[in-house]
Amino acid sequence: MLWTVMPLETVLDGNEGHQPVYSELPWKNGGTLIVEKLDLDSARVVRLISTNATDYLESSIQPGAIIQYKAENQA
Amino acid sequence: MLGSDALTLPPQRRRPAHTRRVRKTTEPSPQEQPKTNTQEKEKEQDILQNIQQLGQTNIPQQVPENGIHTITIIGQIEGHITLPPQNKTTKYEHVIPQLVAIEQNPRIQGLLVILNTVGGDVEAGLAIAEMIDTLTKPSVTLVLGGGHSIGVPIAVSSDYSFITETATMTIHPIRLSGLVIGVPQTYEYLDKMQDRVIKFVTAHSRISKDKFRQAMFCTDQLARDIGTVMVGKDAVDDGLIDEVGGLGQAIKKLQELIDARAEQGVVH
Repeated sequence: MLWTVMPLETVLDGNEGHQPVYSELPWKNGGTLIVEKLDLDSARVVRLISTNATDYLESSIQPGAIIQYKAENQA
Repeated sequence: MLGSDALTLPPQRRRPAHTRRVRKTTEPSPQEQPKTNTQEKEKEQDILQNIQQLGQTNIPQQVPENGIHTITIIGQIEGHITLPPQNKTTKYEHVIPQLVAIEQNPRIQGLLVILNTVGGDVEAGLAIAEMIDTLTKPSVTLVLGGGHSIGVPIAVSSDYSFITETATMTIHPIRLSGLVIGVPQTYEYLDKMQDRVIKFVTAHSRISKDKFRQAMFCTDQLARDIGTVMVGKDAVDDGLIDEVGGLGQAIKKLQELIDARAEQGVVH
C-alpha cells in the first residue's frame, strides 16, 4: 500500500519493462550480497542478507553501489 | 599500558651512568650502535604499521569520531514491491539492520535522521518509524525539502524533530490502488490503515487527533488532492514538529541529548 504525494502512474512507470537479472555473491561473515549484473565486470548492489547488523553500515555495499569484479591474479 | 611504559622507560636508561659507559666500551665496534638503533626504529615502525593495518580492519569504517550516525530517508520509501529504476528509493530492509547496529554499537551515541521523502509504502515507513522510536539512544530528525505522507510518522518518531523554514510536509488521505471493491468494508479497511498512522503521529507529537484528521481531509489546499501542505513554521505551529531549524541546530540538540544521557550514567 503506497502513501505518497507522487502520482501512482509516475511511481510505477516502466514497471513492465524492468526485468533485472539478480545474482548472489558470497560476502563476509557468511552473508550474501544480491547484485544486479550490469556488464561483464561490474554489478550493482541490490541488497545484503546478513545476520551481522554492523555489516549494513559498510558504505561499499549500500544498495546502488557499483561493485567492480577483479581477476584473482590482479587482486 | 604495559607497552607504552616499556617504550618511555627503557631498562638501560635506569642503569647508573658509569655502568652504561662500561657496557658501551665492551661492545665490539662503536659504529654498530647507531645501526642497531635504526634497526630498532624500523622494527617499531613495522609494529606501528601492523597495528594501524589491524585497526583498519577491526574498526567499522562508518563509525564517526564524534559518535553521531546519520541516516538519510530520501525519495520513495520502498516496501514490499521493488519500484521501477527511475525512482530514488530508501530500502527499509537495509535501514532496519542499520538501526539495529546503531542500537548495539557502543561507539555510536546518537542518531540524526535527515528526511527528504515523497512518501511510499505504509508498512515500511511505519516499520522505520517504530524502530527509531524504540531506539534507546538519542535521536533527532530533520525535515529538509519535504517529508510527505508516510514521511510524517518518521519525522515525529525521534526524540526531537526539526524542520527547515522552506521544507514542506503534505498530509493527505491514504488511497487504494488497483482493483477496489465498492463495499463498505473497503472504506473501513482504509480508515483502519489511516488510524494506524494517525495514532502513531498523535502519540509522538503535540498535534491532536482531530487536528490531524482535519488536516488530512482539508479540501481547499491541494489542487489535485485533498489534504494540507505545511511549510516550515506551519508544522511547528500545528504541533507536528518541535522546532524550526537546520543542520546546526539539529546537531546541537543531538549533542545536548547525548550529554544529558551521559550525565544520567548510561554507558552507551
